[in-house]
Amino acid sequence: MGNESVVDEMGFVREGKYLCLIVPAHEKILMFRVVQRKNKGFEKILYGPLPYSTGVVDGDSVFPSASDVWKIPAYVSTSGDRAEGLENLRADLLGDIFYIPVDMVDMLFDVHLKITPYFLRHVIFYPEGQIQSGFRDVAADYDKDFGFYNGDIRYVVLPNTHVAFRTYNDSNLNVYTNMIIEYANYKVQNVEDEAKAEEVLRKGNAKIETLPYIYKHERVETALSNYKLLPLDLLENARW
Amino acid sequence: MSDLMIIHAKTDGSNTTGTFDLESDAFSNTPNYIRIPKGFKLKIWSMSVDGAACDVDIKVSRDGGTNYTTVRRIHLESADNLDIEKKSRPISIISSKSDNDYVQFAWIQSTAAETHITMIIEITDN
Repeated sequence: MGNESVVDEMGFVREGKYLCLIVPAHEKILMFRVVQRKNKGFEKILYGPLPYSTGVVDGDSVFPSASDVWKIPAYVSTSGDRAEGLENLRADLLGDIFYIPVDMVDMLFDVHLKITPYFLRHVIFYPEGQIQSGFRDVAADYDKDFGFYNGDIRYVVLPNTHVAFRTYNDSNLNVYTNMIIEYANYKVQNVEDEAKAEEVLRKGNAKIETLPYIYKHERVETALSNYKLLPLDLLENARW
Repeated sequence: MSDLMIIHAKTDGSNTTGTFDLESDAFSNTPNYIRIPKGFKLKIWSMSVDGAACDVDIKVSRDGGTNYTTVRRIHLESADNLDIEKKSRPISIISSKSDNDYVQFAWIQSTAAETHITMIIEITDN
């Protein structure tokens, strides 16, 4: 799970330590100091079935459809087995509980989805509207044999970014799904100084993670414009 | 990583041969075969055969269900209950290398009668 002085047993950054995000679309890094973990001690959401309809992903089918995606809404009105209480979120968060408004630049979510059955394939859109999975220059959607997640999905949510997924069932079983979410709600400070970032990396004080952001999209670009992107070569002397 | 499923099926009681329709609380349909997701293995950890005398064939297709080969037969000699389980290893493993790898369970009886099977299967990538 990484350096125990930097991350806890769930892989979330400890307060006072740093999160270094590699941004492939820019060949840069982003660094944040985690000032506070707002949900420390209660990181789990027993979400229930994948959102929309019954949560059953039919065999040999795409969920929700070949042209649609699922985000993580607070609840779905057609089903009663969603996480109780999320319906009390502010109205603008009901469609995506991890959405961060663009002006909240000191907030990030570190999200870990655990989805069963494990064999389902999930492709990621970061943000909604821009698929990010692929192999070299070939974009991959649900019908490709590469560029997907099984079971465990980890990502960091930047402001202004709706993260979305499309799921494919390569079996013939109409499977009941379940999702458990672990997340950290970070209050962060962007590290803008290269020398400081280099020191943090050299001392092994950062969790280093790659943002699933290979292909650019204006929503993420807007979010990134609020932070200082640093050179990728700062990683050269990093302790991982 | 993997998924364990308990599957139940029964003979129809009126035909001496047939293919089991599979039921489970892990899925909502009742298919008569399982297509193994590409890159995964299907491991059968145990099988219970309960009821009238019956042979249960585990059959594998590599061509999308057109042709099946029997890879294992479980024989219940007379009306009884038979539990097959190997300590720490599955009783059968079928790997999937394509989208055409199917597993089916068939019955053969000398006299048609009701027999139930219950299996613990695992779909895994290791």
